[in-house]
Amino acid sequence: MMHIIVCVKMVMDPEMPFSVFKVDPESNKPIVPDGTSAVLSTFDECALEAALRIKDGQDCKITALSLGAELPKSLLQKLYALGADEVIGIEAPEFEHLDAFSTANALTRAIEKIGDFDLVFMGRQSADWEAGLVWAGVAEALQLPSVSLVREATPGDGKVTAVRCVSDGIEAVEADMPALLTFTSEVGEIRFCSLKDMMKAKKKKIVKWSAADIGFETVERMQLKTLFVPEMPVVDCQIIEGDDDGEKGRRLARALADQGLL
Amino acid sequence: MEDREILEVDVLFVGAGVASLSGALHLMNRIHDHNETVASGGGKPLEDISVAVLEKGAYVGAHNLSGAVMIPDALKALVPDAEKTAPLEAEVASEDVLFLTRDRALRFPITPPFLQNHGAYVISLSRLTQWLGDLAEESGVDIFPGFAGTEVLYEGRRVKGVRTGDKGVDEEGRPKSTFEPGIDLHAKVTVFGEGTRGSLAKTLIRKHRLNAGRNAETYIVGVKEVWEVPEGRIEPGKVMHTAGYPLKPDTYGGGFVYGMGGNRVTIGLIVGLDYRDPAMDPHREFQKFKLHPRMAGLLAGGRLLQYGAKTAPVGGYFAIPELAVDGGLLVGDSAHLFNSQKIKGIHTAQHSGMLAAETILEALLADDFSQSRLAGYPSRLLAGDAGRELYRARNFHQAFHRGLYWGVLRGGVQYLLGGRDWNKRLYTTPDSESLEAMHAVYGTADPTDEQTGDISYDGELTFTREADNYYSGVSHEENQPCHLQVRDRQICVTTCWETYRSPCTRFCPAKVYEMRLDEETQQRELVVNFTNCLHCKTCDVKDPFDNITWVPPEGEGGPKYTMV
Repeated sequence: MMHIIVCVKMVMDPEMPFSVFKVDPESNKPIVPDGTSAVLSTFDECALEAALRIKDGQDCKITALSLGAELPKSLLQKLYALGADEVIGIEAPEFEHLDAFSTANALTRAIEKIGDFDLVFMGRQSADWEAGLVWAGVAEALQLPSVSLVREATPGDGKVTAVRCVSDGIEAVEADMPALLTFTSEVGEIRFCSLKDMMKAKKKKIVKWSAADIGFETVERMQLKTLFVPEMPVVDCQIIEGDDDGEKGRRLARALADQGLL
Repeated sequence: MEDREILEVDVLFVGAGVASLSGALHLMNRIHDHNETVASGGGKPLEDISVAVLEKGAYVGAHNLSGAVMIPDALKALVPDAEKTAPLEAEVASEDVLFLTRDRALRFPITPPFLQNHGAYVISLSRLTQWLGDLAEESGVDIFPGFAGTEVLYEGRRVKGVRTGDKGVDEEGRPKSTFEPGIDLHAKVTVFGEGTRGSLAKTLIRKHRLNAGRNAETYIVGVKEVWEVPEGRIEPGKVMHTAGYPLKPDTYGGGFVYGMGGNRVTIGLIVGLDYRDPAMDPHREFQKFKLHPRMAGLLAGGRLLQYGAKTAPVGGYFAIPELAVDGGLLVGDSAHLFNSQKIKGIHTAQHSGMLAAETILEALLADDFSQSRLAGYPSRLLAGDAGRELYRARNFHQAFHRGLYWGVLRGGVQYLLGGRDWNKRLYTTPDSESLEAMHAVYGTADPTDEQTGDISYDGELTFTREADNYYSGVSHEENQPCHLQVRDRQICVTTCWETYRSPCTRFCPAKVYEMRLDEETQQRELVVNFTNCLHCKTCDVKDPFDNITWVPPEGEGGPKYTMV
């Protein structure tokens, strides 16, 4: 049976109004405002959806893996409700504000501990720091072939075919499994979970590992110098009208070109 | 309609507000107590009782907004150490009642007793609700955020549950690739705690004529912001209520300012939706309120953190519908259990939820969920503290029908007489009927900005509705059917435009409604920007033709409140 490990980060809801977001200038760290709830990182949802689509068509086990200083139980349960077969949460205070190298190290150790797998899926980048580095670190450490910016993956016969989004179109590549793939928003939106699945998910056991369980060590190589919230730019909203989408598109392009933005 | 998947629970609460959550948590506690008593003394334990709560917001607390100063009596009864553990901003430390003119503030020599808040707390209802949700989950309640109840399910006249909304439906009503059909949740008893102007409660009340012989429901809308201000500007627990400017004397309402923790202040304006002026724009009046020197001074150098709006029911005692039907109960704002004299409904909502839980426990033990068994809840409620309090305020809001000065006098007399008025019972009319024609108010169908009191917004102290709305965190899936159902769009461009100049474009605090004029054809058209909707329900209440019906959009849509 195919086994896919999907790495899912939990991030501060990027749709919260920016006004509630604050940075502590002393420690250079973002302050999570009271009452804001975390969400699954957008591109990681795409990765999970891609895995679920594979599972829709064949016998497949999906392990959802999440790592962080605090992992809300409701989100871990949501991973079950969406269709993961096993959910592993690795929670440790030292996972707060890890750099990409340390995160890659932790995920590598966790994936090694899970053991047997055919594919590792990740989002192209996280919805909070958006560095887009971790996948490369994990692929390198695990010596896996890796394909980035994938919108569709079709595994079969020891190989996986991945359709990549590139700047001027798409590109299909084939890689030997096990392999690591990162997904883009072109996958499309993640499915909804049904209320019944949510109810069942509440009864499922979440596997909890500690930092020691995976033998985590910090390998911090990047240091944050400053972090600040930029001044809000003045937004001048202009609505482009047109009879149909094509017309609207042309007018939009013209308007952007007129302002030297295109 | 095709058959839906069915899920059975024992007790279902619709809407995760303070009424439902207090009820669900109290029920779990009472079941626990009962089983302990049974274990030592014999009897039948209640095992594996499933209690579920549906919530349309993305998370518990996302759609909960109030002033708010809360009387903690119910909360303390529910969670004995709440004063230590609950997210309360500050105990009320000092209070003022001010009468505002455009640039002056006159302090009332005394604070009217019903506005005295000693022992009460300034809170963020959104935060408190979130906290109560966590406690309820710990006690074994299953909460489902992101799922809206969209239809009441009946078996004959008995309520047997609710249907949840379909997800992944496009604007034409066709299933998208993500389509997930709603399910039928069946319960022995369904508790409607959807908050103010509950969309299912409304259909239930109509179907069963639960408001027969009652006063018409009537509402206020509160528009508010939370600001961060320079240190020392306002003490936590400082409470200020105002009357007068910017509202005209014939409009019910007033301003409020509460000091929260962390150098934050909550500031807002309440407007009675029985107003008559079709040019009224509650959001604009609130912006003007902030321009008063007293408020402007308070906010100077600060920054806006969050914006929100919500209606609240002020019809009072005589507007409370029948609260029990076969298989169903109404609690909190959905049951009109709001004290308009104190302008408070959190504690009454909590009382109602907890008393509903007491009755549900009895019903579970007797395995009887008939109206006659469930009627124990309204009896308990009306005979209890909450009921007595609402009874004393029974004529209060109605007294303001002829304006502020008259209302203050008459409301004051009522207070001294324990709620008695020279008429035994003052009646109300629905808010949708109170508007006067633009011409009747201004002598012209197109009053000038000066006449209506329009202002321009500076983006620092005052904000347009679009700008403010951004601070509510509101979002909805764009490609879905419009959840603001306009029955007859012809009225909008004919009678409504001619008589009132489209009041929906002003009463909505989120600028959902816009009239567009086609330059070429000179045809007007109503545009409904439903993705802006803050779920405040003003349109459902105030539209002069009852032309707008608010139904729940796809689950998770709506504001994302955290501190209002």
